[in-house]
Amino acid sequence: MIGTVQRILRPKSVDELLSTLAELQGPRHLLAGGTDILVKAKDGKVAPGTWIDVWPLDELRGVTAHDDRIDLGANVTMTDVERSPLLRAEARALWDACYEAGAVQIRNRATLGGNVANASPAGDSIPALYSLGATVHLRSVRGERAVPIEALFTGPGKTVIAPDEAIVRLSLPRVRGAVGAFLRLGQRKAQAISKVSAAATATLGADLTVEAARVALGAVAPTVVRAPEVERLLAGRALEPGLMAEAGELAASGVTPITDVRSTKVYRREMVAVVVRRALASLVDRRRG
Amino acid sequence: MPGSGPTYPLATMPPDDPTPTPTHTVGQRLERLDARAKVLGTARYADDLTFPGLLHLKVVFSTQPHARVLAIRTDAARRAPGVRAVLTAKDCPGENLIPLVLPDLTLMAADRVRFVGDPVAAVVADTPEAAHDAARLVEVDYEPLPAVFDVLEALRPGAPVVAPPISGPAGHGGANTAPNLFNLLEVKKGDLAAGFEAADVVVEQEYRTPYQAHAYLETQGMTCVPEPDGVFAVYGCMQCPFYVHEAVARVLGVPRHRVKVIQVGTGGGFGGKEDVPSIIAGLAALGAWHTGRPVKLVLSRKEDFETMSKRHPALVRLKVGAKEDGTLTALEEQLWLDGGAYATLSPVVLYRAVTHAAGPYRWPAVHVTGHAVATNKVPCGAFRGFGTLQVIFALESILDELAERLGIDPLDLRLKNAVRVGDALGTNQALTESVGFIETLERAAEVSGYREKRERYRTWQEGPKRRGVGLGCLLYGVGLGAKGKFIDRTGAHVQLYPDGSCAVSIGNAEMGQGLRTVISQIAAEELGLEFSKVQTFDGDTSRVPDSGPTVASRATVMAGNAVRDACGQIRRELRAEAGLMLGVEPDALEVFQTWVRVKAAPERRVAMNDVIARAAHARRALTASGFRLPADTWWSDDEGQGKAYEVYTYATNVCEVEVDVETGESRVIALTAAHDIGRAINPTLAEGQIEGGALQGLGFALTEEVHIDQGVIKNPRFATYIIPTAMDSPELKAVIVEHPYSGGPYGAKGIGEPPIMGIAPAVTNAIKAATGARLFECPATPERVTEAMKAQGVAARDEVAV
Ligand SMILES: Cc1cc2nc3c(=O)[nH]c(=O)nc-3n(C[C@H](O)[C@H](O)[C@H](O)COP(=O)(O)OP(=O)(O)OC[C@H]3O[C@@H](n4cnc5c(N)ncnc54)[C@H](O)[C@@H]3O)c2cc1C
Repeated sequence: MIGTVQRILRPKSVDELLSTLAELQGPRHLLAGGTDILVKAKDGKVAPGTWIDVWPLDELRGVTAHDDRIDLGANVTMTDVERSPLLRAEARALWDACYEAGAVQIRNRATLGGNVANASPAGDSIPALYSLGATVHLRSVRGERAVPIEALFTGPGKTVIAPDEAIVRLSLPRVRGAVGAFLRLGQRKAQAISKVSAAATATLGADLTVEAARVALGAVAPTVVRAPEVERLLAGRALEPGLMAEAGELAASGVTPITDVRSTKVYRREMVAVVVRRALASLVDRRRG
Repeated sequence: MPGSGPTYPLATMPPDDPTPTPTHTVGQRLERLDARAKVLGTARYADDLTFPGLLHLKVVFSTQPHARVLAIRTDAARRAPGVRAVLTAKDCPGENLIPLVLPDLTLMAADRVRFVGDPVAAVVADTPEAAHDAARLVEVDYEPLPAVFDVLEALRPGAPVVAPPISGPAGHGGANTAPNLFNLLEVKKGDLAAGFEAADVVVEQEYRTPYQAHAYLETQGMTCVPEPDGVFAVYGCMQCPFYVHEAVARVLGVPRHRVKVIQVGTGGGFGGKEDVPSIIAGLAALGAWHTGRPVKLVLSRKEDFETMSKRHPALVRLKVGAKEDGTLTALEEQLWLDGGAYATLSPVVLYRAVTHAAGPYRWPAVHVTGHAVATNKVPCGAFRGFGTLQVIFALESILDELAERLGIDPLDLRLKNAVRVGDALGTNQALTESVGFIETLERAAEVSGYREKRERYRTWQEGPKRRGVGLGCLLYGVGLGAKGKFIDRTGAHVQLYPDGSCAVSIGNAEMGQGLRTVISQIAAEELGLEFSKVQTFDGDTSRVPDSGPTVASRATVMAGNAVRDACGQIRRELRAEAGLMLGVEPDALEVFQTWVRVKAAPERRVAMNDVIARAAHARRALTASGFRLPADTWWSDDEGQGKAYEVYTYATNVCEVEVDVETGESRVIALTAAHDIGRAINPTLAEGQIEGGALQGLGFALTEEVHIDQGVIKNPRFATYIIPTAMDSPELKAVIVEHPYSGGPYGAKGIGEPPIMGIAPAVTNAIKAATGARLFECPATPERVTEAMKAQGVAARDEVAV
């Protein structure tokens, strides 16, 4: 960490944050829960510069239900998600992801804004947000823009967020009757980064016919990816075991993961089939209640 | 009253009396002395210590696996702000050497680096930040040399020479006589050919075990303080204050009385603080020598991971034979331990490996050949188990293979061949007492429900989940044994105060295992004191004689015996005094709990407190030094036989696992571990050792892996080096079996290491029972389990073969 923190600013409002971002020269780093950036800083992977602490900004907290959408402030933590009955009912994939991540101490600090901005292909909220069709709201002194989450990422750790912008909130469309699930495999039961993950959110008819479905995969490509071929396969068909297995195989055949210290490409590819099939199976279980 | 003579005449010294029984502190579940401070965060560790004028040291480590050092440019670093000194090998006032088994480990590499992580320079500065920044300005010119990373390649003719032949002091555990071969040892018993001839079934297999990092919570750290009288005081975390003492004296080139080593805190050791703290202390001392100021060196987690010792990876080729009825007939093993760049402790790790290779079983014929090999990787040294996990993984795996081929249950195969008193081990050592192996087998099986579960899980299936139970057994030679006996002794100093309280100093280290508590219990028992009246202090080399290392599960036995020796001397004084008080001969008295009483008339007694007060007033010697040697052991390299260790701890682990056959993930549901430890001085602490060791063993079995590429460690952090968390901990059942050892205090044997040793095969044997797939290598990651299932034709969704 030595040397990377040249100074720390603590704006009192989002407006002050944005004007600070607009005026600053050189490297700047937002500090939310700190659970990613502090680890990177300690490894010398953060360019020396100005740190801006956004954690105290209550304007960025809160889960708000509107008729057509749910808004989540950038500072909403994984613990906040885990404690929200609304999100458990209506954004189950996200709830699952936050429930599974890290451990209590991490979830108390880990924000959704940080998880998204960190842009790891293994970030657990991200496939869930893909499956929920989330929109990311970026704001700067120049104004606010809404970016569909899938358009946010350009590579591992890379996003379209401009240096003077901050994530202010995420919004999720409210879809009546949607069911969702997120599943992941890690190297141990807690405090593990996903080796492979899958999220699915769908509306299912009474006979389990897929009316609409979004499926996303984590940790198998440079960014989290949708699985459009799987979604097409499922559209209009009843979720029965044969179809779910086929969907899993199709998802696996569409990815080219890598081998690293956490897992191998062979294992990751094979497991895509398992987690996709199992995520779909839990949609069925949840639809049946 | 000044000037007045002795009030009480001194009686002659009576002989010592036997151990009091029943005991009032030994065997009790007393709270660990350090528990509160550790839970409350008030315990002090190496980095908590500070001294006026303290400077900070940063090490510049080699970035090359093997290279000639052409030049070390330090000018820019020297000119950097806050820098007080930049030191290299040539700045050692004494020898540039860490004395261990073989004299090959340099404090700082001089002309050649042997691994990525060899220290080449040290920067001493006013702040850790200044030292860190300046260290980056040190430039080293390397001429890369061919490197070797594999044990078999390292032994081929023409391989790059990592470690040239060198020999150690005679009798000191080993000599490498060929390039890259730190040691070659054999164990030979009986007629091997005849043994295999007599076998109905022979199984032959190759096994591999991985590196393991100690993952102690406290990284290595030392501070050296130059004192005004010319003494260098060293404070830090360590297992072996006397190793550090010798190393610092030799590096500084001063006599040993100019060095004082005080062991503090020590947040975990597990063997990882046996040899390498001498390097850390040597560097801090060098900094203190050159600047005249206190110098602290604390490694970052990453530095610690990359440069400090590890468990030896191993390659084991094993062949065993048995008769149809399960009687074992022969064992042949070839073993290669990857020692890394310097010998450090490899020669003696190999000794323990080969002497434990045949396990707690009766074998008429044994031939084990072990090699400790040099490669251009991080040096491997001591790690809880010390070379045994490797051979136990192979042996306990192959016994299950054999059982399967014979159609005998693995438990029955072990029961049939288990050693008892009167049998001889694979080393031909005759076992004369304290052999509780069979009882551990029986108790572990009973407590875990082994037999019913074995039956039930044959067809158990819940979706993709399968269950199985597996066994892993072991024996462990307590203490340093024949190859370490030249340093195997212990001292203690016990001082009783007139108010009936007592200070104990020992030469062995508390590192979280509870040694100070156990020693206080023993002293309280011996002197008839309440437990709360005894304080055992952190080790200080100026107060107690060289007590050898705190390793090899030896401290309770060795330090416990030394304390008993000292207490026995004081007790004779106390009985003499009590004799005067009760008007009987001291011989007629015994210490019973906190009283001294007449043996023949127990109601005639005096409180120990009163005895102590009067004895103190009478100016009796209520302080004594104790000293003990272990029972004798011997080893013949030529015969490959000997009395390798004085006594053995025995254990049986039963692991119950649930495997998801689609993902290959294994969840350990329950782990039962039965250990014959002779006598539990403190059953709670013994269980703590068993549980902690089991969990560390589960890490080795399932998740822990060091990824090394061209000598570079790719996962030097806890995010990617995966140790078990509380969430990964199964139900742990510790079962204590007590077959007392006459040479141990109150019958005790060692328990520090055995708990980790047999876990991995218990897990992989259970995985095999659950899935039908055998792992020949650990850790049993989901990647390996799914691969093994594919390779061995066990399909994920099929019924598991019964
Ligand atoms: C032990 C441990 C376990 C973990 N386990 C998991 C896990 O299971 N699953 C998982 O997904 N992650 C895990 N993580 C990673 C981490 O906790 C999450 O990614 C977390 O959500 C990051 O949020 P944060 O608030 O801590 O981000 P920070 O570290 O504060 O910031 C992360 C990045 O986001 C940027 N940022 C923060 N807020 C904003 C904003 N409003 N606008 C723009 N940029 C912003 C920062 O500048 C920084 O680049 C783990 C981390 C640790 C240390």
